[in-house]
Amino acid sequence: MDLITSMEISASGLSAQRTRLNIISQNLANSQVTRTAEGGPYRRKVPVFSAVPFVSHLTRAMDTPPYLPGKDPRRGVYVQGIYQDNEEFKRVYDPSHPDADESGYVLFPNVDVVTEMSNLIQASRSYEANVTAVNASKSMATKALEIGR
Amino acid sequence: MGAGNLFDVTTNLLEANMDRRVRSNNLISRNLANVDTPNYRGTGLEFEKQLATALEGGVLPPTLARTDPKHMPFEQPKPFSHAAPQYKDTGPVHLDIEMSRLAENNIMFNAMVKLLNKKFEKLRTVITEAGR
Amino acid sequence: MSDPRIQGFGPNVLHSLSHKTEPEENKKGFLEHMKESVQRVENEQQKANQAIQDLTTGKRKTLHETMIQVEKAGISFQLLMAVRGKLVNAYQEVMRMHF
Repeated sequence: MDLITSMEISASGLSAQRTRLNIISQNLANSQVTRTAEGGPYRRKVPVFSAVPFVSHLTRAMDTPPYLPGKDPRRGVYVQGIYQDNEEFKRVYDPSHPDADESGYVLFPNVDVVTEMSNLIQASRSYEANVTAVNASKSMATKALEIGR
Repeated sequence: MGAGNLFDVTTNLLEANMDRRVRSNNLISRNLANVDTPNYRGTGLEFEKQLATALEGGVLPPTLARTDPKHMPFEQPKPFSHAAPQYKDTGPVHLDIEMSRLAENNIMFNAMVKLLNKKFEKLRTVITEAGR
Repeated sequence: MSDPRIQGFGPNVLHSLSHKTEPEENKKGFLEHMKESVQRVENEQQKANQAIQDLTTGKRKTLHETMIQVEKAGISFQLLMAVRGKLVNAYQEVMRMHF
């Protein structure tokens, strides 16, 4: 295991958090959309993260490319998929709305702005943490280059 | 006489410690990458006790023994570096704790490098002076 | 240990001067020691080269290991050179003697 691998792992974290930020932005942008191409209001999307399994008995030889057959080249974390939140849509009474149904209710996306914003802040913090991790790895690698001089 | 005894136990320890810290950095990076992964439990590396045991002459879990007599007789077996890493479960990841682990690991690694350099520098000086 | 003033200089004297507590069976000549040391240094150099090769081809990316290996090889080599220097000086000193 080496510091380059550490950076790859952190990069996977950065990538995953960025995907999450994108999804959050999408949710926020579409939080008032009552009419989508598929019909009905926009449904909140949620990314699901999954950890790349860490196999502790691997020796150093197996940690570097070329990877042995069957060995997952992914590192750290990955987005397993982007799922739809099956939470109920919000029912708002507004008979004057063009998308109001017979009883005057409009279905709005199941996006809660407050939740999205707090998720956004958390995603930002996690992103920053991974940036710090990259810097730590870089610092160690740079220091290692100073061995001998 | 000979190059075999140039590098003492402390040097080997420094090397082993550095090796462990690179591994730790890997694990901490992975923990941070998975800080928002549901049901994820962090992995850590227990090495300081392991090295202390080695220093006191205890036996570390599987060391690479020189089993083949055909192996180079001049190659020094390194009792520390090749010991199997002891991984431990550190529980759900707390961002702040993990960040401080990252910082500590970084600082200690840099310290090891500096100390190793001092040792090497001393050796070189001694050799240069003795060669006069 | 033999007294150089009585026995005079010769390979045996040098040989006995370089040992302290080794049992009779294990006594190696001075030349043997030198050969061993050169071999050791050669091995260190080999390991260092291998480490560099692994780093450049991406086989092993452990920077610190490579740096340490290279530095160790360097120090070993430096020691060998210093010993060689001393030996050459000693030889020249001996050659300067008039019998």
